[in-house]
Order: sequence, then C-alpha cells, then structure tokens
Amino acid sequence: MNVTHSQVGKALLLTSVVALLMGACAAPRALPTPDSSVQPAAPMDTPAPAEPTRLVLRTTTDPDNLDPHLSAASLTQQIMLNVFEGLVKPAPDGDVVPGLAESYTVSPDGLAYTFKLRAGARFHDGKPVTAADVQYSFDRLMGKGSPEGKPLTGSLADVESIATPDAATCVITLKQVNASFINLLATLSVLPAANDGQHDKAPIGTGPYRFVSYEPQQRIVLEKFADYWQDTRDMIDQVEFRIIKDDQTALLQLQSGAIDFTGVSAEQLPTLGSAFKVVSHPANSVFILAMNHTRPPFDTPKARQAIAHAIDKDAIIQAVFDGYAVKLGTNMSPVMARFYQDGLQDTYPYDPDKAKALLAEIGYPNGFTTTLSVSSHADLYGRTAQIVADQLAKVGIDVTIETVEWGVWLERIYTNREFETTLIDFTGKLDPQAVLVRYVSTFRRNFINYNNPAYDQLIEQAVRATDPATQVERYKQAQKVLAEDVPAVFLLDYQFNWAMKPQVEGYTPYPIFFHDLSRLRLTR
Amino acid sequence: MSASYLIRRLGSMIITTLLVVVMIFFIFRVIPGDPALIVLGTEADESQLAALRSRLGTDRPLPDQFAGWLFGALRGDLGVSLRFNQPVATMIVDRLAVSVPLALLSIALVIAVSIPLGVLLALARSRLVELSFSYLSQLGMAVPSFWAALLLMMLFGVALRWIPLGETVNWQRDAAASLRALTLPAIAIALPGIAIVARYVRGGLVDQLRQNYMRAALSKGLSFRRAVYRHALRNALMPVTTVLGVIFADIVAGAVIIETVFALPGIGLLLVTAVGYRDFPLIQGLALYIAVVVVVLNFAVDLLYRVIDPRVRPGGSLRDE
Repeated sequence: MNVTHSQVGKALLLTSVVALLMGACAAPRALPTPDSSVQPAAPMDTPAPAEPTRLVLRTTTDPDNLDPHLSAASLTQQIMLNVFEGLVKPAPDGDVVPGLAESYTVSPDGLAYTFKLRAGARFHDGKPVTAADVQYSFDRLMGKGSPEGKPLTGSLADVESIATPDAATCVITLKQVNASFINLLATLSVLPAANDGQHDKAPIGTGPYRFVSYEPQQRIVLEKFADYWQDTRDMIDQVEFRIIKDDQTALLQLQSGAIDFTGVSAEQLPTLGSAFKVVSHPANSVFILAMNHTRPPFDTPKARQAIAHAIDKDAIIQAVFDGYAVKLGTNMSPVMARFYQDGLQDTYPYDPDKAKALLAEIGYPNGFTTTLSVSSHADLYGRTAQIVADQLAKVGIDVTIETVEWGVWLERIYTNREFETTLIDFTGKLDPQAVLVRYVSTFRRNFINYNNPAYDQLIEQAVRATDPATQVERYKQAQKVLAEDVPAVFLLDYQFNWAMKPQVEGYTPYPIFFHDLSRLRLTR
Repeated sequence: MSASYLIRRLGSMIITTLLVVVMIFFIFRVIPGDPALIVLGTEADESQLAALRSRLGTDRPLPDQFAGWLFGALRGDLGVSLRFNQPVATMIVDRLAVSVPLALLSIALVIAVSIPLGVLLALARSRLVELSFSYLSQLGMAVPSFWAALLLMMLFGVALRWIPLGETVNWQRDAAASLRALTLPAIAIALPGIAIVARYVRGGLVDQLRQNYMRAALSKGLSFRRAVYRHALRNALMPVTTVLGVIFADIVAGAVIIETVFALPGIGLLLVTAVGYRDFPLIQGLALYIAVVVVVLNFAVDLLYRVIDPRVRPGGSLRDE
C-alpha cells in the first residue's frame, strides 16, 4: 500500500478514508422507515374539505402499551382515551356520561346493570359495535378465554356474569353492591372481537379519533374518525403527539412553531411571553410525604403529628411550584367536588414549637434521624425533599436525602416497602374509591403499611352503599380520619399549565389525565 | 498484513464482545428494578403486572433467559423490546439512520475545522493567536454540551429562525429536512471535538517541527511547505487519528445528551430509555451493538495507522526517514 503524495494534504485523505470505512458500517440510504406505522381501518371517504386542520401536541413519554387493556400509564390514557371508549365516558366535572351505552338502568338491589348500546356506534374499521364485542372485551379483561385464565385487571373482581340478551343489550351482574362500578367503566375500553391479537399493534376503537401510526420516541399520529356517533365536523382533522422528554426543548419547539401545545412548569411560565395561551388547572393529584408505619417512630401518631406540624406546606407551594398548587389536608383534591371534605388543610398547622413539644412527649426531645428516599425521574421530588429536610431540621429531625432511580423506587419502596420516608404524587382518578382505597390496610399498594380498622370499615361501607348520600358521607368521614391520624403528610395538589398557540380553542380540563381532542378547535 | 495477525485480532475482538455481553446481562439482572413495574407505573394492579411479567419472560430462571438470548442472537434474533414491543434488531437498525449520519457529519465538521486550525496555530507563532486559542479551546471543552445545544436552538431555531426545530430524520421522505435536523446537533457535538483535536494537531505539529529529521529535510533543500505537509503533519496525525476514532465511536454508540436535548431518536436516546426501563433485551442488543462498534473502530484506527505510518506495517522495516 502506498500513500499518495497529493498536494491536497493528508487531512483530506484521512477524511475520505474515515468516511469510506464508516460508509461500509452502515449507509443511511436504504434504511426502511419503521413499519410500526401500521395502517388499520380502510381509508375513509372524506369529502375533501379545504385544507385539513392539524395540531401538534407534546407528550413526555412513549405509551406503555397501545392495547388499552394492557396499559396502566396515565400518560398513555391521556392520548388514547380519544381512540377508545367504554360503555360510559368521563365528563369534565368528574362524573360519567353515556358513552357506547346510550343509557343504562340498575336493578333495585343494585346488582344488575342493563346497558342499551348506542345505535350507530361504529368501530374505526366501519363495523358496528355489538353486544358480542362488549362481551368479548369484558371476558378478555377478566381473563376468560385466555389460556392461563388470568385477568388483565383486578378491578372487575366483583363481576358475577355478563349476558347479552340481544345484539344491542348487555347485562352485567355483580356479586355484591359496588358503588364504584359505573366509574370504572369509563376507562375500560370496548374493543372489536375481530381485532383479537392485534390490539397492541393496530388498535381499533370507537372514539372520535382513530389511531394512524406510532414511531417509538418520535410520535403518535391520530386522525379524526368521520363516522363517529357525534358530530365531528368542527374537530381538528389530524393530531400528532410528539414525544419530547426534555421540558426546555419542548418550550423552544413551541416558541419556534414546531409544536402547538405543551405542558410547562410553573418556573417556565414567565419566560413564555404573551404570544401563547395558557390554561392552568389543578391536577387532581395528591402529593404526600409518606412515612413507613413499620419503622419507629412513624408507628406513633404523635410522631407523625409532630412532623405534620413541622412542615410548612405554603413554603413548599411557593418554593417548588411558584404558588401554582393548592394546599391539602387529606388524601383528596378539591377537584373531586362532590366527595371532597373541605376544611382539613390546617388540622396540624405549621408550628415548629408544637412539633418539638410533641416529640419531647414521646421521648425524642432531641429529635431523631431518618432517611428521605426520593426518585430522580422528576424535578419536584428532589426540590421538595430539600425543603422538607430543612424544615424538619428546625425541630431536631436530621434528614438524609437519598436519591434513587425511578425503577428502584418502584421496586424497593413502592413494592418491597423498604424505606423510612419518601415523597410521591398520586395521579387523579374519577372514582373516590380508587383515591381513598390506598390507605386500606389490605390494599396491595398500601406501601406505607397503614393499618386502621376504623378506616377500613368506613371505606367498605362507602363502596357497598346503595344510597349515594350514605356513600358520600362515609367517604367524607374517611377523609377526616386520614386528616387526624396523618398516615402521611398530605401536602398539596399541583396545577397543570398547558401552553398553546392562540388559535387553539376549547381545551377542557378533566380530573383525570385526558386531552379531550373532540372539544378542541382551531380558529383562523 | 499476515493471516495469523488477522486471526489473532479477530479472536480477541470476539472475546471482548462476548465478555461485554455476559457482564451486561448479569449486572442488569443484579441491580434492582423490575421492568414490568417500570413500564406500568404506580397505577398498575397485580393482575396487569403478572400478565406482563409472563409475557416478557422475566419470571423465568436467569440461565434460561441468557441461553435463550444467546442462541437467538447467534441466529440474528435479538428478541423483542419490553418497552416498545418491537424487534430489537429492527429498532437498532432504524436508529442507525440517525446515529451514523450524525457521527459522519460531526466528525467531518471536526476534521474540516480542527486540522487546518491546528496547523495554522502551530505555524502562526504569534503570542496573541496562541493565547486567544487557548482560551477559546478551554471554553469549547468546558461548556456543557446540553447548554451549548440549548443556546444553538435558541439562536438558530427561535431567534433567527434559520433552522426549523423539531424536524424528523427520514432520508427517504425528505433528505433535506433530515440534514437540517442533524445540523445543530452535529455542531453541538463538534464544538468540544474541535477544541480537543485542534490542540492535538497543534501540539503534535509543534513537536514534530522541532525534530532533527525536519532540520535534515530542510537542509537537504526540501521546501518548508513540503517538509511540513509531507513529514511533520503525517507524524503529528498519529495521535489525532486515535482521538478521532474515539470521538466517532462515541457518537455512533449514542450521543446520549445531545439526542435527548434535541429529541433525536438515535442510539443514545434508545440507550437511556432501555436502561431506565430495565428493558433487558434492548439493553443486551445495544450492548452487543456498542461492543461491536468500538471493537471494529479500534481495528479500523489500527489499520489507519498503517496507512499513515509505514513503520507500523508488519514486514515494513524501520527504514531511515
């Protein structure tokens, strides 16, 4: 091999050799685009309107599964509730309204629910929705027909049987009264039996938007479903959810016009300027300082009360959320209007002296040491931990902050319950039972090991109540028990801030994670 | 190049790759984190978790899982990603459409700027030029790449609007847009690279210019220009080749930070996600890919040495220059 003595210099030679070598590794030419972009459903007979309207929204992470029966992540639901529907649908006020069932009746004993399916409801492939599809969907969720017979959700444990007397009627019978049952149905999707085995690849639903494609770490594309059972004429034609992890990048992309809609943090709001519209609303979250009740002194109510007195929630709201949060006193957000018990926020007001006195009373005059384990996957945990540690130091409690990865947090703390204290925000639910059941001693996710028979009893009474007034009353009593017993320090419900270009109209907040695309409009 | 040398090299390349793959497999099984938990999050119920675990196969014994993976890999089947529910091999190949052009573009920028700059600095012999370069290069190396990336986006994407942000890399659909999408990331990656490589070129060249062979070359009547480009620069480029190889391998193996900040779906973004979600098949597949890239590129750099410096060629004797 001989080196050429060109005058161009060795630099150029080197460049070309490197380039050649790399070209051999992998050339960028014939790489196929991911065929994840599955095209379900036949092409729609669109009457070709002027210019199709288009909206690009940002989401922070990939869907956990496109099959709604296998998905559990709130951020997936936020998008896919536009594609799938249940027998009932969530309403912005937290109630449920008719969905695929245009009406339903409940038997006097509260056990049998008879659903009348909506005439004219169609799947995205054009086929009508029948009672057989409803039966198929519930059988699938309950594990009937699958080889292992394992249910896909534990939430239908109270269901005794499902019957379909005719193609438009569906009767679900419960083993025992369950006041939450109807709320559950809002997020249990009806899927076409004909698409069995394809739900996670080419999902077909009945919602106002149909699934077009998904490219990992890039985008999910939806398209208006013209045959939806409601008028779709004013809805936006094409919607793309761009997957952008970094908040700062998303903000810059909004400002440059690459995307039209993104969530922004409280501290980003001032930099946004007046060029964008912002919709802020409480998230219906419950952000708590959790304490492990099997680790002393957290088994002692007075120790927990002392900690509650030592924490200044307003300071956290100001420092971490720039004021964009609501103070809580129990495990429920005021968003749950009908069930929420107000006035508990200051059951143990900020009072460091009282905290010290309580600690002295139970034999810790000089405080104690503890570890606060927080996940690193979101900013708010670490920032709140700093303030909590600082506030607790003032009453003599010496806090070591331990930062763990989200995967470790889920396994070690949330599942194996190996921790002393931690910070976590619970996402909103439609159903008060789902919100309050977290503190029932036998609940699988009672990761703080709370055990209060009186509380368990109240929750049981509430969910078995046939009379709505009794149900509400029991839930309110349960909230008072939590406020007084402080199994965890209930800190706050933060706000979501959605920034969008000014042409976007009709953004409607829900108490659950849901960007309701059917209500969005684009003005010229 | 002898056959025995090639066989030895190939053997050590295979062993290195295997070691990496085995280590990664067991390390990720030992550290805490259950993929089913992470995929489904705090709202999962036990039935959903059990269903997912059996679908993922993470409930099977470890040696079983590894043997299954290895035999699959030998047949070219790297399994299916737990997080994305897609074949790992396809996902990695898809990402090359971003990572390889990004690496080529970045390294081309580095070479195009740093080598002439290094030569210029070595020959300039001006205190002022030297001083200002020294500050600039330190700045170039010290600025965190995510920050430089954000500044580039703010300047060219938002303020000047020269380069639209958020464009997609898809060479078949729109090659121009793909190139635009990679421009700012490539600059952000190239900046510290330029600073480092220019230092190497300058240092190496200054060193070579002081050597006796240079004096000999000049005194036998060779022009300064020819002496510099033919002899001094060639010797100065030896260490530079190594540095360029390392930079290139780094990008092809995933420019984690830059890809995250620019939301570019390359190998790096895939890697962080795979690790965060304990997506075992994807981690294994990427480990294999990265090991192969590094091993092959090292080999390529060794070959380049032989091109630049004949003495390194086996059989090529230590002639007097």
